[in-house]
Amino acid sequence: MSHLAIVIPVYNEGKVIRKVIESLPTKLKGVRQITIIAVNDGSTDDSAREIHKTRAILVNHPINLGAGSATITGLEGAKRIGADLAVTIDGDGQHDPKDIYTLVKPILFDDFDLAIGSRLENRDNMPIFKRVGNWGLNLVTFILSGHWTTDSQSGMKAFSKRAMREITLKTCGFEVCSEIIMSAKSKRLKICEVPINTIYDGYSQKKGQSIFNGVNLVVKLIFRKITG
Amino acid sequence: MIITFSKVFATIFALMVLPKLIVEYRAKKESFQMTVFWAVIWVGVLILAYFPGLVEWVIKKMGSVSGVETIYGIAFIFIMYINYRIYAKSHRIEQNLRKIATQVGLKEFE
Repeated sequence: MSHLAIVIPVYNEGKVIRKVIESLPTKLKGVRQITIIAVNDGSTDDSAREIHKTRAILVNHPINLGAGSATITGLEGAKRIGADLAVTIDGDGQHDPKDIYTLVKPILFDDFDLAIGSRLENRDNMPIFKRVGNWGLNLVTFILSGHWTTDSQSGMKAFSKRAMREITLKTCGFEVCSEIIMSAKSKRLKICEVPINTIYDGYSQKKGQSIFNGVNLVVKLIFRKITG
Repeated sequence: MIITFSKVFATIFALMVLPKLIVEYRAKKESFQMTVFWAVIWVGVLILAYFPGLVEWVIKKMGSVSGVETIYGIAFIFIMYINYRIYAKSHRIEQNLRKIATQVGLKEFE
């Protein structure tokens, strides 16, 4: 039986974060304990106060550094509490909590190290500009990592203990999604993709990456690849 | 042909940068002075892209009549070098900030 850490990077999600955390499972098959680590990445709204009202462990970044930075802190926290596996989910409520088990299964029972939640199944709901941008970033991720995935920018991923230990992350922003795949591939970890549902409501559509960020993201990934 | 390409590129990048400048200023992420500074720079880039003859005119006024390509080349390399230095430095600072934020955030885990 394993100890699962659910890591949620949070930036100005005060409106929804409490609901997101409360919707997370308290029990899962093959898991003896679930710990939620919410990393408040320098939010300027009441995110921290809302997280405090829940069962999640609140980790505060003194300043806003980006989703990647919050993910790194969350995974480091998961290691320190002795978690055997970790799942990352977005704080905007776009992920279905039921998919956590779908994502954890390949790690628990099939010996995979990294499971990527792919929004491929529900792609019709994805706005067209996101679909095009996502495909472009899948291509960039493939060129830089040598691993093709249908949803490289998914924030929902599961990590084995080995993956938490061996994956080296340095980027601070959304580029961490691709960096995780690049690092996992270079460490020869077993990677799989699992279809997940996505809830695209007005709130979650406003969140996520802008087109401006896409260019920046590619530059940072190339820089990361070159500098190692 | 080269001029047409430079017009297209300058227009695309200016259309990306200028609205972002306004958005960041309105979100109070950037000061008024810096917003104006970068807006002037990008409007300047647009003007030079559409009226490249202006550079030649300035050089002639300065007393030289040749080497426009050389000046463009040197300027380009210099800008790329400065760009790289700034990027590398900001990357290093970002890394250090991230390490500090993680340490501060996880203090209670120790």
